[in-house]
Amino acid sequence: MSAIKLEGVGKQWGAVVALSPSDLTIAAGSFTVLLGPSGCGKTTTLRLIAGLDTASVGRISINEIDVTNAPPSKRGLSMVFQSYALFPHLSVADNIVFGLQVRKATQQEQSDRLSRVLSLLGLEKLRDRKPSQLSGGQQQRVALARALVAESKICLMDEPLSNLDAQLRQEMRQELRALQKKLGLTVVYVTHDQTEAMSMADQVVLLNHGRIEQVGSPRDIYARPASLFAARFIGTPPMSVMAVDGALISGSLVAVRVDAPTSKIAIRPEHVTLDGNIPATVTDCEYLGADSLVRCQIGSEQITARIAGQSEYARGQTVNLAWPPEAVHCFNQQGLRV
Amino acid sequence: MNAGRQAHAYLMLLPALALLVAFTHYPAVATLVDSFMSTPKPNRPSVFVGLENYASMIDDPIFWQALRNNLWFALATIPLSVGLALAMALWVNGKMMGRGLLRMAYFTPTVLPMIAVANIWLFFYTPSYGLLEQVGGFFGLPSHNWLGDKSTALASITAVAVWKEAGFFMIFYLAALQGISPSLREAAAIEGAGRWFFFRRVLWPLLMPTTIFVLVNAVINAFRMVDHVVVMTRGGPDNATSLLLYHLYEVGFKFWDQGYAAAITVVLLGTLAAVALVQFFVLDKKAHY
Repeated sequence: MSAIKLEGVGKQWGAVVALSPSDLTIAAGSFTVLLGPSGCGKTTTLRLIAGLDTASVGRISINEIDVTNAPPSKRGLSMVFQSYALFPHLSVADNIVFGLQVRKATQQEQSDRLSRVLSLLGLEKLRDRKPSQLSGGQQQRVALARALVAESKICLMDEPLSNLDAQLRQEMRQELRALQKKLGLTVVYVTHDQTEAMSMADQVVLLNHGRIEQVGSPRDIYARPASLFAARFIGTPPMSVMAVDGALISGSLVAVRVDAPTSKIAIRPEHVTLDGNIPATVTDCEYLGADSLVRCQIGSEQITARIAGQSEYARGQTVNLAWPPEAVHCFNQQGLRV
Repeated sequence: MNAGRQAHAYLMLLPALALLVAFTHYPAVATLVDSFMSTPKPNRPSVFVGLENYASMIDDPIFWQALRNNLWFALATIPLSVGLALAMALWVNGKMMGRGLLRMAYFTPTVLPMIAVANIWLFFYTPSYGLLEQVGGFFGLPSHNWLGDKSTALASITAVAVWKEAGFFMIFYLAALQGISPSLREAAAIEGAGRWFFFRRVLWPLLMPTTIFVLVNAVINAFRMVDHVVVMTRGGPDNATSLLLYHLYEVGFKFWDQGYAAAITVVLLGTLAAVALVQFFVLDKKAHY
């Protein structure tokens, strides 16, 4: 069953297109990540679902009900903001029950739900603190608690972890995912961090320039990028993209097996080995600990190989590369997968 | 060496210190001293009279009338100008066409000198051909001498003060509103909070520091503003619009009763200081910074 459905939904600000008309289905109980570089339209998409902005065209439905023009509060969802949006003058407890007070819940219900969500997130000791007396991570948990206390089945998150340090971010990733599964939430999560997307998502929606480039599971998107943009965006480092002339890598005599009409090929660095017969010149060798990245030149094109960390190659050295034929992804003139 | 540094520091402070002492601190102390002295006459120098000046203040019916007038004036101008300022700020903080122009329009009264403002309003209030008269006449209302009638004169000059002050206070509220993150409003909207609920539970508490600041200023202004009284009514008719400061000015510079004027000054300043301190220490506890 789909929890959220966008049909031809687009948003324009005057002449600026924030989101081209797009279709998207988000299954109930799934963790969907909207991923893309800044300005790609991911936050716009989230705000349209939340009702904080109204779509210029198209139809949005939540649980089969058309909510295109409904105010945020009538959509049965909660939201965690990037800046947390905690009310600075209210205590943790008052922040959390704010929404319950709006909806005039009884004192009994307020305190029941409050203590439940406080213990769920381990915030019991902080209930009387003000947001300014909390660390970034604690504020984040309070924002999450405020979203969860409404007990709505859909939770929208706008880069909720972007203000935390790397260590905490990793812990929160696991915790968020566990919470989502435990409570059976439908989460729509915006991020520009592909590690977050890959590690948490059931479904990744990759956006670029206000268009949806690809929708799929993290494994799908990694294994079969649908466009050059996806090939260049996903993976650290991403695929090496090389131009081809006919069946030769540009500026070289290296032949690759491609399906017509290919103009660019892309190869994951971990699929390139240094034990083959394709001559290349080393331009740079970057040591990363567990492995090293060897950047090489073939003709006029650049290719990266990810190899065991201890190997060392000097700049200008000639190496012989190899890759399995199925590791070559072909893209046409328009940047779409062939 | 340390003494040299100290001397250097005091030398640097000296120009500002000299000006402050000469024109602020010495006059304040001198006023306090003068309030216990008789007014010097050509043939009789000033002598210590103790609380005599204060005693004659208690017996002075015009002082009491000025105080009463001033309290009514304060009681009306403070809430009206602050309330109006908040309402205007909330309005022009929204997204709308010509917002910049509107903000400027509200701020204009603040830029105008009070003397000019008073003269404009003097025309509004003029009997038989003033603006109010003409509008009133259009609707068939009887002619009224707003400033000449004892029952409406004080209200008329109060309106001028509110008009003059609200725009100024609005700027402070507007600045505070701009400092409040828009995501708070969005978070409240997701929860379904209406405008009034959001104002009462979020905006008003967050604006509290601004409100305290504006209130302190409004109180001080209510006892400090006198320009428009001078231009429009000169305290008349029959002292109906005489405010404390205007009475003080008359005593000091028309009747040349220096000792008595000093006594009124001390009472006025003491009252203002007390009110400001109460505001800062009592309201401050209720404010979130």
